[in-house]
Amino acid sequence: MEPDIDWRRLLEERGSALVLYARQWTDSLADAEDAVQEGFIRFWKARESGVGDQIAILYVSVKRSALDRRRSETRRNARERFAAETGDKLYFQKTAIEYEERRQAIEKALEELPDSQREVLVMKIWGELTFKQIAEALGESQNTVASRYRYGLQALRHLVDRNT
Amino acid sequence: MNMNHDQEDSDFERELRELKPTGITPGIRRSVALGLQDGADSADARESRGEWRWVACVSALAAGLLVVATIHFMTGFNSKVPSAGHEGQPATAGIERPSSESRDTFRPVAVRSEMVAQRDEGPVLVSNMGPVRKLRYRFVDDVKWHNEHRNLTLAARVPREEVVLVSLETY
Repeated sequence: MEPDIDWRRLLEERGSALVLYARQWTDSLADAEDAVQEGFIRFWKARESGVGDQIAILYVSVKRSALDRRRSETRRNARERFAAETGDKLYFQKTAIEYEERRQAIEKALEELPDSQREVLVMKIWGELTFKQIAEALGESQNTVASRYRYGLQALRHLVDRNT
Repeated sequence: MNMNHDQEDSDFERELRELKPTGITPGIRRSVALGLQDGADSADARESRGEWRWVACVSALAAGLLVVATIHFMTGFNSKVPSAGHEGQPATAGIERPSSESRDTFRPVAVRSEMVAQRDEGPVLVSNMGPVRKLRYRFVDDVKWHNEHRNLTLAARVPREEVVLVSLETY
């Protein structure tokens, strides 16, 4: 990351993928946006040039906010939880009408993937992080995240094929 | 067979890349802008940390100088002032003077450390530790020294910072 990058530019470039990333641990789009906002602010205030990969740290910060929100979510009462669960499930922008069914199948399949595989897929495909950055963010080896990605991609393809 | 699978995965990967995540809303931009306004920007924060360190060094130096100056002053004072009841006699004459070490020695008698601020600076990556949460604590240490022989007390207040790294559980 460039040392003097403006936060607005960073948010524009990475915001959408970060919201998608945060949605893995939140029940609604609104909660995911709150997690991104909180994680982004915390990251930006504490960022230090030259210490680790800044994009990896940004992802860690957003994940932590999302997990914190999920923990506080368990304290909500059942009615509130139900309202959140039945909220908007749209992960991707709407596509051409003939492709909509396929998009929905992909979203459904993503939800069925194991957390660890889905996380790597989201970071790699929509976050455009390198395996090195993903490994740094997750505290795993590059080989581990690369195989999670490969297995996750295959599993997702099979789930989509099954759902369509 | 494997080549077919690889090709299918690669096509599927391309298909996934074409899906665009839902964009960020103006609400996020506003909230982040607000959040970054009310808290100090990191540059300001770093500057403030620098000032704090500077104050700490100056205070410690001032405390040290005060101790030295007081000892020097008291030693000189006692050697010149005549003792009551022995007019015309030097103050030290006829008095069993303890060693200069015991007369000038100030011993610490009280140390109090008070935490005045704490800040969670969020996650950072540290080599060999992985992601950690960085917590910064600020203390003010009050230290008192006392010289029993001269019945003098010196006090110094010194600011101090501590940074604690707490391992982050990502799962």
